[in-house]
Amino acid sequence: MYTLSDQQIDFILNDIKIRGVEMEDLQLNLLDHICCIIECELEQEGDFEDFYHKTIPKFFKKELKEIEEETKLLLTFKNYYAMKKTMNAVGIIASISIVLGAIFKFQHWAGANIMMISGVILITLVFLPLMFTLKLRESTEKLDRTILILGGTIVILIVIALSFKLMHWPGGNSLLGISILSLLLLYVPIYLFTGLRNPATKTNTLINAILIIAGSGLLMSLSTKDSGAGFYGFDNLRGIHERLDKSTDITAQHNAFIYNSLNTDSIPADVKNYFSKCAEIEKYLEDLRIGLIAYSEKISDAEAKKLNWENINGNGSPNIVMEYMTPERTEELKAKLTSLNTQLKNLKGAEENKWSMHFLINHENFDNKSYFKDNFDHMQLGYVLQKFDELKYEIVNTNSQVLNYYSAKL
Amino acid sequence: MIHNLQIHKTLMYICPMYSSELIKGTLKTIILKLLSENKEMYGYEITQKVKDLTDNKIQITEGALYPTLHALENDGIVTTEIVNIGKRVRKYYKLTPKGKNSATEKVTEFADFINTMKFLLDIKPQLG
Repeated sequence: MYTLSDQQIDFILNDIKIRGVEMEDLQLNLLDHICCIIECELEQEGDFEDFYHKTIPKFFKKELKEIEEETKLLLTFKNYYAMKKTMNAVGIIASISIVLGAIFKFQHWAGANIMMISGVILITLVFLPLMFTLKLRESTEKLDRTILILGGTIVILIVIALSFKLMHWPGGNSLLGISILSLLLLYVPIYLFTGLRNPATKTNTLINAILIIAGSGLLMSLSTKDSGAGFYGFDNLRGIHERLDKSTDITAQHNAFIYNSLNTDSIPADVKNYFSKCAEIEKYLEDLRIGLIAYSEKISDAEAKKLNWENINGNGSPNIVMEYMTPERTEELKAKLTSLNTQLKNLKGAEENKWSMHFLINHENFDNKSYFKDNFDHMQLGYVLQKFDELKYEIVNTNSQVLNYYSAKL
Repeated sequence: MIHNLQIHKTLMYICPMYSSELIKGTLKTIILKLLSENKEMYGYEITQKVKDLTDNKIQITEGALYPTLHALENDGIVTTEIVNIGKRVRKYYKLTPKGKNSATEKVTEFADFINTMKFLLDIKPQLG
């Protein structure tokens, strides 16, 4: 039985470290193990150094570091399965939630946004990082790893940018632009450079690169300006509005002229009442219009009043219109319009002349939900302002018919 | 990666009597069984015990033992206790409650496996 001195123990520990074992736990385990072997197998008078150098090679095939590598491999091997399982589970949950969210969004059901956002968060923060980490572990070449890290970051950026666009959050366009540009100018060249060098991957690389470029082009078309273009774009509506406004003004002047020319005493009470109600609603509509412009352009009501169509920016997101034209406010507007329409239909002559305000009423479906949905849900500012003008025009135009009828009768 | 790992592990398993292929996958079972019979053991003790019990037919190498012990600790199957022995420390390994279940399961599974193999290979029990 050999007795080890403190210096000899230090020597062994030091040697273990020099041989590349870094995990402290493992160093201590190996130190104790070697000490046990020496103490049990070396005679009292034996040569420590000689015995040590003969013993240590029994621990490995090439170098002592192997034990640490094996340990790390076993530890990550376990995580590998757990990570893969988590990745799959999260991937399934996230895609279900995104698909359901999309269906809900199309149907305008509640909870669509929450589902889509949570799905995107899961994908970007859990699924994609896990997927790229697993892929990273499998590849050993430095260039492959660089490509993977770069690709992973860009894909995550694109997914985040797309969800920004979907939710109409500010900054979506620039984020999408930056990520697509870095995909085209950074990732594709490096990918092509590495892939084309290897004859085995040449064809696939070329096909993938073409697909990436085509896909980027499609995504790029998404990143154009939100409004200003398209059917409900603000600019397209300026001309329509101007003509409508002029026509409304002329008819209103004409109406005032006829009304004033009538003998006030001879006008029936319900007709007088109807006209005062009309004036009230016109005022209400004008207030609503000013309020919406002020809210959307982020200015005061007084400033909004001064703006004409030329000065209105009108590029606010549809969410701004919805924030202002809440379902409650929409319902108030609807109630006022319905009662005016009822009053109109009760006037003498209404039935034979078929007086009715078509624009005010979305035909048969004049319930709250569809009224909000058809007119204010995700609508651009320009479209909603036009709606208000159409309402005003409708009232003035119908009044013109009413006045013509009564001026002939009275 | 998995494939390499298994080959690597097998090669490090030095065993003078049986082919390494045969021993593959039994190291965990051996360690768990020993720990369930002895309250706590340290690395060198485990290698010696296996050597003694099997009459030198199975020798566990350090290169296979310590990685497995670390993995078992990481999985919560064993816990460790560090005891100072003069200038150095010794790590004693002990089964956790989870480890005790796992030891029973592993041994039962292996016994069942042996029976199946006996039947499959048509090995007659040797008399005497």
